[in-house]
Amino acid sequence: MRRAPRTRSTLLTAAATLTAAASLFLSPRGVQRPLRNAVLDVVAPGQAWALSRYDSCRQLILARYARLTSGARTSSTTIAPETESRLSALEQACRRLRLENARLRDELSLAEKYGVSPVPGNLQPLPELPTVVRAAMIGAGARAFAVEQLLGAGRGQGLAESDVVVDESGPCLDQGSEAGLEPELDVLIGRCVVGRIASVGRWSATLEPITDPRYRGLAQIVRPSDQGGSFGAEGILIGQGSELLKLAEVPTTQSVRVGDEVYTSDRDRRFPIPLYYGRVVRVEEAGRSWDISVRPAVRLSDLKTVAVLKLGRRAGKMLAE
Amino acid sequence: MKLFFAVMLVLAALLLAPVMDQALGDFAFRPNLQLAPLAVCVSLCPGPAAVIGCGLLGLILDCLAGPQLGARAAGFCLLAALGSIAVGRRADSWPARVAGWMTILFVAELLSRIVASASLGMPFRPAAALNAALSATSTTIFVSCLWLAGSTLSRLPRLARSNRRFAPAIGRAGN
Repeated sequence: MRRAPRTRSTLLTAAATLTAAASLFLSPRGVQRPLRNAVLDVVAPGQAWALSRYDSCRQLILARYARLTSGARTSSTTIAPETESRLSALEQACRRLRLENARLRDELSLAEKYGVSPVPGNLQPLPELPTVVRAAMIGAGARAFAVEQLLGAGRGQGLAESDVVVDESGPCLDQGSEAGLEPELDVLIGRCVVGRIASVGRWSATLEPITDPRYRGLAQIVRPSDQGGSFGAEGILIGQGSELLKLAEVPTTQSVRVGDEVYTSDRDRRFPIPLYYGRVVRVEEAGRSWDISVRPAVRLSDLKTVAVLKLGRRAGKMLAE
Repeated sequence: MKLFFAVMLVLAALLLAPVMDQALGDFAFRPNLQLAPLAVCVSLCPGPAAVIGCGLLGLILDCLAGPQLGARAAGFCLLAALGSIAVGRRADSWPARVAGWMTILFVAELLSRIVASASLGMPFRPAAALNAALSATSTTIFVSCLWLAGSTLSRLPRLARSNRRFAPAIGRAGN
């Protein structure tokens, strides 16, 4: 007996909800965007928190399992996750201070050589500050779906090939030209270089990581020392398609040693501040220049989100010059 | 109480969906936690509550996935309305319930994939329907296990009370 009123109320609610959804669907982007941002602001942090909890629990369980299976007393040698994150934070702070120290040392040596200018120099107007676009790495499942969809679609069916970029060889990002991405923009995580944008579709882009054989970048060595750090030789960082990078064009007259840090070069002018590439792990003499292997600071498999650096117009003009 | 459970399940499913994707990302046969609340809502609180809940879930998924909002919200609320009416008409048996969940989840998967294809400007391919069926099957198994565990837990106090009648007899048998 109660079924008919409930069916009627269900249908009425469905009609009202359908009307609301249809009006939302037809509403302009300006109306949809704040709502979408609000929902993302509520849901995304929760999902990120759940993922981080999952990762830390998984690592803890794996570490305990490894300890159980090995049977050895490794409690003194294993590092707790909190200690590891603290160590990593200290290492980052140390790198930043070393870089600042190297810059100041450079300025001091110039001042000692040429003297300090009696007139304070005019500050150049700062170029427009670069902006950053956050992008998520597209997972294997989503990419497989996109590939599957793309394979069946042809030009005759109205598919514009620039709408979605699905390059099997490179990792994908979930932002494209709609978010202002362009090819050749640099991709970072924190103060470390991840790579650069290879190609851009409307809603996605492919990433060319620094380990890619096509990657080239001007790099500078910073040598850690007891007094801080000092700038060393410059060279060209080349991806090799393996886990190590190659630092080329560093003459044997320059001193390089294992443990030196490799940063982006100031002369490159792509970055507002020097960013970290990685650490020198092998140095061998090869004719007139060193054969240097660099281990990148970033492992692509560890990343879930990255930042794409968009240069301002004036900074872009400076780069073009 | 049922509404509270439904809301909690929706929230938990939304939070844990990326975790499931990361843990079982390599398998095609994995439950879609984002759509599982549809079946749970329709079974727990059929009627207007399920329609509004599923519409909101669709809107959240629209916000998470695509540039255009409203498509999933409309599809899911319509699906919930039809599901609620069907739930009221059928007997509350396990096979009927599982078949209902399977149908709802399969249609929701199809809708979701059609909306994704349309927003990317691509045609919908039949192979995607097979994947939708696989995903719906695994999600149905997941929801069934969840339902079974929930109903067992809710019956535990009643089972304990009914076992008290046998306590004197068990005591006498011991003597």
